[in-house]
Amino acid sequence: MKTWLQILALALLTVMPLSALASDCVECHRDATPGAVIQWRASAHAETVGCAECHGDDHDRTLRGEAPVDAKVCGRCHEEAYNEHVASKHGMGLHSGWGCTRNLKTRDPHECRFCHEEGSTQPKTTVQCARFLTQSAEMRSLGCNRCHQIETSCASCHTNHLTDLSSVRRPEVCATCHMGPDHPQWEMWQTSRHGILYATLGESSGPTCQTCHMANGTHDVSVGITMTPAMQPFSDAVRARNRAEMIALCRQCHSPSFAERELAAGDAILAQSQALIDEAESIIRELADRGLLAPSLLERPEHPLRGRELVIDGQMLYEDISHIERLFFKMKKYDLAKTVKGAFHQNPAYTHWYGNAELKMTLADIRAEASRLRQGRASNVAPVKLDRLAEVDEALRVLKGKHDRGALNDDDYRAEKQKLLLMVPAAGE
Amino acid sequence: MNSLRILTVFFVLVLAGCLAVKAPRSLNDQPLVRLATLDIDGVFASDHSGQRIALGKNGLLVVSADGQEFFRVNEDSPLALSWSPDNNSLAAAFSLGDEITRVVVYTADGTPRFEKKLPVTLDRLIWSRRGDLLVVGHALKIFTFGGNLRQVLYRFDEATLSETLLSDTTIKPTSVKRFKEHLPLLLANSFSSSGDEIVYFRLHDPPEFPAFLQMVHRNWQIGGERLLLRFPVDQFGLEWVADDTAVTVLGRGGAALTVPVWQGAAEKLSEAQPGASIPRTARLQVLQDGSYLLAEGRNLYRGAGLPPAGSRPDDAASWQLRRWRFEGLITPQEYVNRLQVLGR
Repeated sequence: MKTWLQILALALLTVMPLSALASDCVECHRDATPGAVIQWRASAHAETVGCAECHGDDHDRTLRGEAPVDAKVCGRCHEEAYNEHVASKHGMGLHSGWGCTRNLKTRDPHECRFCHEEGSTQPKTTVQCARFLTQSAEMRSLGCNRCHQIETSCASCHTNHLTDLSSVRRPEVCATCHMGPDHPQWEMWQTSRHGILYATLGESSGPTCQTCHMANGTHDVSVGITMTPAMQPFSDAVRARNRAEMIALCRQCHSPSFAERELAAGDAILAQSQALIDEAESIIRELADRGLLAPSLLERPEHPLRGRELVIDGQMLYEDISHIERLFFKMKKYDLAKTVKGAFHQNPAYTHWYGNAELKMTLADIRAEASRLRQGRASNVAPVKLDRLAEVDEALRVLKGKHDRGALNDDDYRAEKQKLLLMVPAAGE
Repeated sequence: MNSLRILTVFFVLVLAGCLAVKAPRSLNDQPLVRLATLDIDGVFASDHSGQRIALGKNGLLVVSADGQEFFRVNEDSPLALSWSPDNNSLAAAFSLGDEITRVVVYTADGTPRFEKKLPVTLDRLIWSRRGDLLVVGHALKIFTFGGNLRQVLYRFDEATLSETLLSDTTIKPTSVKRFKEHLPLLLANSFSSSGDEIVYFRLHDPPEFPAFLQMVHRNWQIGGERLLLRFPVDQFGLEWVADDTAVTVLGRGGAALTVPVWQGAAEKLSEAQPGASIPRTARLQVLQDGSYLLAEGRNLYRGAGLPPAGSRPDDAASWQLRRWRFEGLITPQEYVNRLQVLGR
């Protein structure tokens, strides 16, 4: 009995200061931010976690937006979930800079600069996402960060002051970001056999996003995934391990042989679809080498990360590009994703009609557009007259691109450069 | 000022003995004429024709070549002065304290054309040969965990300002204490004669390792940087050699090291040169006609009879060739070959 009294006294001592702090805040905030107060009072945090525990006690800083409650704050108590999140696809931005996660494939996680600016103890803060950098501040906020903030914000899924897990265990919570033309996982799951079973018979019969991607409550959403965010396959060893993890999940309902066959078919569709992308990419590179893209690389604004380089990988922009590049963007960003993700989410319409058919029809458009460009009939707009230095500049970049890709040997590269440099005008010319 | 600097380090080294004495001796057998009195450590800059000299003396003055006529441009004494290549503009930098530098561009008659406050401590102010005003500065913000040190290059194209971040790094608390007062001397920089290329030191202070200086090469026409060498943290002078192919690093003890900018590191290290003592108080500007200005203490003198500095053509093609060289579109040798063909 005495022991229980001691524990009770200790607990009261622990809780009382928190409650006191919280009540200080609540006095004003029940009027200033009533929704937040109501949600907090109804949450599990109301018992033990006061406002200052997460927001800090510097009200001015909070008002200035300088005290965000980011994932690290949550991680102080929810350490396991935080560590899982950080190691997963959702948390990769914590390592690679706030924003786009597509740069990861070019970085070695063992390098200091994977996390830090060179020579700095501070984490990377530079966003290296061309599409983000090209947008207005408003578009960055509402169009980019609302989803990509998940890298540093648990509230992306959990909501700021709610702690009721029944909300985040439902698949709808994923739909805000995992929908739309570039990765319609929500739509393709919802209309798949899995989604129909969930809608008609409930969670016990139809697996949700969480069933397969956050099994057993893990925050590591990368479990079982065999592709990088840029849809490049992981190394063989990682792929084999991840595939085994996914098949183990499938086995809860399916036979292993069925699961293996289905996923292998998905792999095959990925390879077939990637071959179509590769063909389209080679067509566009060849047109760029020949200076047939309009606007040319010189006439369009510089790419925010790579300057005058032709960028048609994960950092490709969709503005200030030629029509044929716009077709390629759609093909790679939308059609490929629908085909491949449709296959892995067991949605035949997305795999075939929204994905595969669009992929192949867009490739047909690209071939036709390339043919027109080669015949010089692509544009009715008079080309911008460039001075001689600008012409040589563009030609040198094309040559270097060819050389770097191995399409031009060293001797030919040198000889071609000499010819170009002869065009550099002397003073007064 | 920088655009006329072709004698650079060689002259400074050879003539160091002359300058080391209190009353300066002429750099040759021609006499020195005293022109004006400067502020303590006051700055000065002659225009490129040698007709007007801007100097700091209880404010900013512009003095005629013979020192007989002058007019006051500003009541504040400048930190740095530089005339534009066409002699039509005078740029001056003033300290507003607390890492704020005010840059003002005046017309030749002293009328302010535009001004800008920059959030840095000034390290350099020059005009490029084609007429860009270039300002380099640094800023140190101190936090409990250490300091954030930034070096920035500002470029004014007319009144339009663009920024290039030269470094942005965190330094340890102990390094903040050690280096804070010496940063202007540690973070030396030097522009090539055209002004489009800069070599500078930046402080690198990784956790668990001693701090060191990195010598960095940039062409501000484009992004990117080239790391040249690593040095212990100390005060070094930096000067490009006359043909812009190398940089001379001058140590406090007088040792000099020539660092070819476009060669491999092994070659750089093998080229240490015998040192010479540099008087820290003397300042020199050599003009196109071979006359020169020499400041020692608070006195400014004019001398004559040095080899004329001359002027090299610097057209759009040269700038473009250097840009291509920095980007790796042409090799350093192709750059040299092309310049020779073009007769530069």
